Amino acid sequence: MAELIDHRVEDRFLAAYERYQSLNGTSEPLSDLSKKAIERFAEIGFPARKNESWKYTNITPIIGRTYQMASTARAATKGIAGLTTHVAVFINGRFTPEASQLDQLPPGVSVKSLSATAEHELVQTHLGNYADYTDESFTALNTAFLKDGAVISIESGCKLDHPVHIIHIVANDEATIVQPRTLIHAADHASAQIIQSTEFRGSTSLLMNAVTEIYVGNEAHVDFLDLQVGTPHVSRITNLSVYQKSQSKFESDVFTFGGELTRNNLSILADGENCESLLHGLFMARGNSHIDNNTFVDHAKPNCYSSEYYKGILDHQSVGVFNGKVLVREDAQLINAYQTNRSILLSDTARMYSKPALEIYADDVKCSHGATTGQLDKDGLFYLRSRGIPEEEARRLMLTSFAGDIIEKAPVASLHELLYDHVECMLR
Amino acid sequence: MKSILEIRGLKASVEDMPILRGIDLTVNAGEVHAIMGPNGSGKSTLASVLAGNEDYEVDGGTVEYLGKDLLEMDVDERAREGVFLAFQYPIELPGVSTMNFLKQAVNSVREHRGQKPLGAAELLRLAKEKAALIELDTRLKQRSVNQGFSGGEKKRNEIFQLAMLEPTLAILDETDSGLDIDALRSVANGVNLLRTQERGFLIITHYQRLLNYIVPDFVHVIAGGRIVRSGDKELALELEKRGYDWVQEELAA
Repeated sequence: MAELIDHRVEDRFLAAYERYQSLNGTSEPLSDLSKKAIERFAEIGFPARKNESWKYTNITPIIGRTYQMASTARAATKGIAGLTTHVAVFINGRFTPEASQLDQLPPGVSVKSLSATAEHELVQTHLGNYADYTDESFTALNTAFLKDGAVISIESGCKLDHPVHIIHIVANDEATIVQPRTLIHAADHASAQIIQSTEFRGSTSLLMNAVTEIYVGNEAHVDFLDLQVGTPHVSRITNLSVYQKSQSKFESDVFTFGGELTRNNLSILADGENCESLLHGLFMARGNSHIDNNTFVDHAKPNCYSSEYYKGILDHQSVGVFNGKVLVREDAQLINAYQTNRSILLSDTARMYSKPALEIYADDVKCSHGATTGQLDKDGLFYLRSRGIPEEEARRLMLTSFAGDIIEKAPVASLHELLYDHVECMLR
Repeated sequence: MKSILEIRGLKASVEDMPILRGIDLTVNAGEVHAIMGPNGSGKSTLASVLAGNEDYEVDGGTVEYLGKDLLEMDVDERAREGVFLAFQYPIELPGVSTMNFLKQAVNSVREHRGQKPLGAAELLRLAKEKAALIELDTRLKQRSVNQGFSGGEKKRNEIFQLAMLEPTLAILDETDSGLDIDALRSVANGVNLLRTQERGFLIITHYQRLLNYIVPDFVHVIAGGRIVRSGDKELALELEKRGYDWVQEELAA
């Protein structure tokens, strides 16, 4: 019976694809990729609960709804106060130059719309090359409906003076699916910081299925910070796929506050020697929120370092999932890989599923993983209160410090205050 | 003389096991009382009950603090009213910055006293002044509360907090345990500088050693959950010479 319902859900997406194609059509240079992706989606369908990496996250309720494909809309944003950035605005997934501020970009750096650059060699070479649409259902769906998105290019040796801030504005008045797409290409020796955040203007249910691909060239350095502040009607699947060349450095910082259901897929292929990969995450949930962080680090070459650190605070009936996998291939000797996940449960009904995993085929490596889930330290609370600090404030101080550990690692220091504000807000 | 603390017939238990079986004790302003006794006699339980540790159940008796019912107050309320406990085992708080912690603690207490909260600069000045008092390495302030501190540093940090919060009643729970002679001397020196006409001290210790440096006005011996003997500093010296068996034997006789 369940099988039957699943099929119907997928058929609806396939039918939507047909309609979408006849109405809009995918621009010529992207249509091949789009067609391959929908064909693949038709074969693999949505992940079942049997699928180990989806074991604790049930997507049936969110994919079972009837959604409209996001249409064009008008909106404006003030961005984040006190933050000096180059702002690229996407409304319902479409690049909106008139709402963006990109005139101060340094030479060698460009932020363009995907639809306008689809024929460019950079897009043709890299788009769809790192985000695996053959195995990931949601990436396949995003790729099938590919129409627009952001293409950020940092040419060889160029450095961004200030971060590029991609702001997605989603304005919907009925249940909508929006599928942003971003390609970031940092050529050899380039360096850039990218911030991505979303502003939700609608009040009906929304499914956001975002795919971001990042190419980090030889000796290049990219920091990518994703700030996700959700409301109970927003569900999000994010797929971040990173490809690193030798001696490159990549850092991911994922902050997820609330939302209905969130699934953050992060995969990194370290395909060169002496790569450094840092994966930091903070997730806070309450109510019936569900936040799932699924990471995969693939060490294909020797002499690399990866360090992963995720922390979560869960209240009420919320659920957290951490599925972290590190793969060290046979010839990838002298790898240092570390994984840590710590979570605090604030209620008896909140749940955390934590599964760090190492899969090692090389014999000369240093790898470790650890996960702890517990309640707020009672002795610590007593200690703070014994110094006159009221109970509520003492709890807040401890939880803010717990979360602050991740915030302080975030590379854009001027964002820290805003991140602390979100933590405060979730604890109120 | 102004009374700070009046304990009458205090009984307390932990997990249904009676520990305190009727303690009577009065501490007046300006006095230093030493509480001594063998292991398991109830010394630290007394300190915990007075600080408001909820792991302990009060089964009877009264505790008046400055004329108010202390046992009715929450832990943090007691602290704001001026009761301070220097922990035997100070808690490590990873990630909680020492300055942030001090700011919240000091300003919670100040606010309760109707004083203006201190700004960052004023707090820093005060912390510097008080740290010097007990020879606390000021670099420790850069770290998380007690995290990675040595045993001696933790104990100094307790006395440093005492100095910052300026309590009316300071309870020191085996502050001397685990201290080498130099640390002991500087901690004791700090405590002596904090002795005032308005403040009362309850110093809980197993050994007489600390009392060479902090000379008490009164010494009480707890055994079996009761105060079995009280005297002046000479009592501590006698205990050191004759051991705790002496009071227990005498009591049994």
